[in-house]
Amino acid sequence: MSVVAQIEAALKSAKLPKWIDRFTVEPMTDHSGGRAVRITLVVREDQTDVLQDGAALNDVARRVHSAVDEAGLDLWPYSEFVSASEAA
Amino acid sequence: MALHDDLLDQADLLAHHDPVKPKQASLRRATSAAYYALFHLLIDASTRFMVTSQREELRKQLTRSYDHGHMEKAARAFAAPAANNPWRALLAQPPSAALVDVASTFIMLQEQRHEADYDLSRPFTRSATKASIARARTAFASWNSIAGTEEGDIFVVALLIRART
Repeated sequence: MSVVAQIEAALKSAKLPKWIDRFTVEPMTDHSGGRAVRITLVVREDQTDVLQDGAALNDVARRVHSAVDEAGLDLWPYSEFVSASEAA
Repeated sequence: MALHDDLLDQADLLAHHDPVKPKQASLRRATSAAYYALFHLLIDASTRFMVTSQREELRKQLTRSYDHGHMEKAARAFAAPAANNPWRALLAQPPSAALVDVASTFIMLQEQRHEADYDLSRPFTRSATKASIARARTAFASWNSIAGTEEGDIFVVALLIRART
């Protein structure tokens, strides 16, 4: 199973909040040369107020980090949040 | 207001600067300002812990000793759920959610700051920029909730000093 598939599976069982419409997982190398993964969490268009709720966003980022860690992957997860209308 | 508070407010202003179609320059500078806000908040806290006298000039000199790369590595020691390192060994219990928030947000913002300044292949969006600023603002509040605690003291020392094993 690829790293992306492993992370996708881990996140699907991480019980993310309903205001997250979907997510994408993209392997990357961070600026210090470390193995990392960018996890873009797309927020439902009718729930974009949450993008100003840093506590809610940080809570999800912590859950994402734990899920990646528990999957045994030695990658630093960078969680980002974007509205559905601005998602690529 | 302190520099770090002004920088955070500046990040907000830049993120909302162009009402209809945000300019990449505004969003990228907003992201950079949010990073530097947290960077300077933590340096301010760290130097105030280390220089307890009223020697402000000495404290200001110390602020120049902090290194972005070292601070990021130190933050990882507290942000990773299962990190094993000398700093973590000093904690009586795992880092609080507040400390994890501060450390994780610092790492995230530093990466975004590099992308904002050097990687023009990735367009920045207003919603993602606002989310990053909101996380920075929450990291400020989280820091205020743990400043002066044992874990907070260990963290601010780790931001400057390399751990010896």
